[in-house]
Amino acid sequence: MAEIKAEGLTYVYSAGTPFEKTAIEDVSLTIGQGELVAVIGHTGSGKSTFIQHLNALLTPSAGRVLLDGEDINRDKYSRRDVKRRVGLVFQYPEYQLFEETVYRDIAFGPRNMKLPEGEIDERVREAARFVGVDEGLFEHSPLELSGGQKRRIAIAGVIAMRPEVLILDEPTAGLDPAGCAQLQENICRYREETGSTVLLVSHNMDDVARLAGRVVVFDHGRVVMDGSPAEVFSHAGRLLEIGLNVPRASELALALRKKGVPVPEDVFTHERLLASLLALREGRPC
Amino acid sequence: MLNPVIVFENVHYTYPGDELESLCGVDLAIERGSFVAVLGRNGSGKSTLAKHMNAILVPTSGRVLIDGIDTADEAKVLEVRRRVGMVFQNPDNQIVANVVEDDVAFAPENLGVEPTEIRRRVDAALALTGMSEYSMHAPHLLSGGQKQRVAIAGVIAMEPEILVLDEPTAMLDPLGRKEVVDTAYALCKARGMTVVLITHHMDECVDADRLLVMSNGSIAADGSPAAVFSDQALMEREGLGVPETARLLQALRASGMALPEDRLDTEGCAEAIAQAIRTEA
Amino acid sequence: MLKDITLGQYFPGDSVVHRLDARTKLVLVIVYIVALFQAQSWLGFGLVTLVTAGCVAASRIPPKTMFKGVKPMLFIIVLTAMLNIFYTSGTPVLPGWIITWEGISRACQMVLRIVLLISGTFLLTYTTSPIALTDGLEMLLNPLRRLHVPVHEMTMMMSMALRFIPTLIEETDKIMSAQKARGADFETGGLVQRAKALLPILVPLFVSAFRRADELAVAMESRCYHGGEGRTRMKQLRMGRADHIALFLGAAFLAAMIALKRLGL
Repeated sequence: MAEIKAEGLTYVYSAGTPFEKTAIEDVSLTIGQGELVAVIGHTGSGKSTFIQHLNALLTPSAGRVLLDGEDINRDKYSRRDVKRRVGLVFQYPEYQLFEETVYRDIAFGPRNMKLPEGEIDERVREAARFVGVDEGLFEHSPLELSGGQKRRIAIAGVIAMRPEVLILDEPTAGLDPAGCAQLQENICRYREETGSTVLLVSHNMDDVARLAGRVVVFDHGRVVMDGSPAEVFSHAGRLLEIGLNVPRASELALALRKKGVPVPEDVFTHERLLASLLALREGRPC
Repeated sequence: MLNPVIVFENVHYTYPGDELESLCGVDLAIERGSFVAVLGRNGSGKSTLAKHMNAILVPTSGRVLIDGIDTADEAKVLEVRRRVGMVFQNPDNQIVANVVEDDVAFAPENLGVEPTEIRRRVDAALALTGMSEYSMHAPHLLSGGQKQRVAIAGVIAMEPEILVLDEPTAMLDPLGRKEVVDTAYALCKARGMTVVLITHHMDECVDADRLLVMSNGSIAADGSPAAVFSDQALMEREGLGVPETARLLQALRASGMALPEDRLDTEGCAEAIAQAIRTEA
Repeated sequence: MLKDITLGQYFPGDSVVHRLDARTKLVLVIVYIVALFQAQSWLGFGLVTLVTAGCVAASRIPPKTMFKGVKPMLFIIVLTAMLNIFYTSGTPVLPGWIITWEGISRACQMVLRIVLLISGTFLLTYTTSPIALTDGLEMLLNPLRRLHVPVHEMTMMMSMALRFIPTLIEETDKIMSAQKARGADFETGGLVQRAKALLPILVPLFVSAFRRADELAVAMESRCYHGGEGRTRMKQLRMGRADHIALFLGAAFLAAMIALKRLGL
């Protein structure tokens, strides 16, 4: 069981100085066990600040974060505890690798948890399997591997802590299309096998449309939309207005509607768009 | 080709210490004033290709001619680099000064240009990239897209004929990507610069005059974006995927609709489909 | 937070101080430091403080920013004050106490000296763009070239260092957060343990600094950098009337300070 709940979450940077800036304001959100939620918003919309609250890296200026009903900021111990229950993978996580071998780097998190050696070993192997890192690489230096492999190892380092909630900030940024697809598949399989809750921050709306069960949209520090991909992407015009992308299929559907082709508003994938266009041709309702 | 400005003649390149060749016999001629996009997975040799265009790398065998100058001629390295502006992936690692306009001035200063002329070029370059209002800003406080535009301004100040961008959008968010790609297209269309854009993003290639796909150190496909994207098997094999517009047009054509292949921008594609549906009705 | 460190930062502006030639400011800072070390009495310190305050006011840099620059040095300042308070002999404040009036007075003067030293040098970096600063330094040191000192390379390195300080600070912040998320603990444990806890930050930081240096070198070469030979400057350093007046005032200030010291005041 791991339910995350944010209640009236507000965070103000550099409070009391001329640089004071409210990053998020009055954000309330419940994320249930096992959900795959995409968090979207343009740079500076507050989404990064939000996710850093979920494992107590940032302490709210107002409001609370509850994990299974308990305030994660109640004391020093709960703040430490939440870091292993809610795993956070930052953007470009390969820049945090530091150990001499791949194995030791993945083991860094479990070792900080003071687990027995046997369990550390088991977790390192499990995490490596989830991200598709071959055990033959364990004794290599992480620094001599390719960018894509480094990324996987860094993600394994967080998965090895067996978090109940896994948050990934742009996990595929900078990878080539094949690398992106592979990593996404790994993440999905991880979620299916472990039943973990997964939060995915992404700029790529096609990925969001394909992967997420729920989409939360941040703008100016607030949650402005929250629903299924079909619901959220049916507001394609509004999303474009606040400087976000929409899935390519939604973008095309929007352009088609403007040219008088009655494609339904909740079309956001290639398959649905193709199906509704073919239906239109044959004069069937779509 | 009428007027090629970049010419590769059977170029081979192996990185020191590597066994495998990173470029295996590339022949290529790029037309002056054209916009060429280059796709390819990581390690396909597309960055190596780019680095040959301004003599950062010189061929192990074969030759590269920029405006007729052989890049292997050490005496003419500056001549080559002045003609070819390079923009790289990480915006932070190519800005040298703490103030935007000082950074843009860096290249002309290196070339020994007169101070008043440098001033004129810096102002012009900042105007072309839409960064004039940031001339006195500190680069580390700008957004990723803005930093990349400063980097572009920094090479434009050399007044090059060719602009080579090596994955300039890989680290940017969608807004930043659009800023940079729009700037690159504008420099080609409005200023007549030759632009080579290396990227992972198919949708950045749809308006290019020509699209190359690199694979294992060779050119696997070369043609108009519409032609290259229509070879779905190839794109699949190279792990690249196809833009939504191309995919949809192909699927609809396969089901018997009379549609052109080459309307790959969103507006054009929607227009073509709308028209086809209207005529059929 | 690390982001608050303002070392080497430049605040663009258009004040009299901003407009002075970098060479003038460099010379004046040296004059200022020499003058500061002439101060031995409250009268002397008073004069230097007054001059510093005047310069800060003329630069229109908010005093708050100046104090922010002093903050990272707080540890050294407190340590100096302590040493002086406890280890100066003289008249005890209260009979039997180790603290003496002389000690308090020495401590205050030492603290003032450090704060003034920092403020004076920071005023230089706050009001002078690093490019101007390194250009100025390069021109002042130019005579050393005849002794085969690589003046251009040295000043170029300095300006690169200044450029990358904010970038590396930001990076350190990010790496720290990432390691904290993996359960790294930087706050508890003994000295050895804490030093060891820094490895997960320092290793990635060094790796990234080397990668940046590599990429930067390629980017600079691409932009036709080939050393100092034949380089020109967009912004020519030019000495104007303001510079002559400033240098004259600096000389007068130094003379006054030396006179005060000679007179034992």
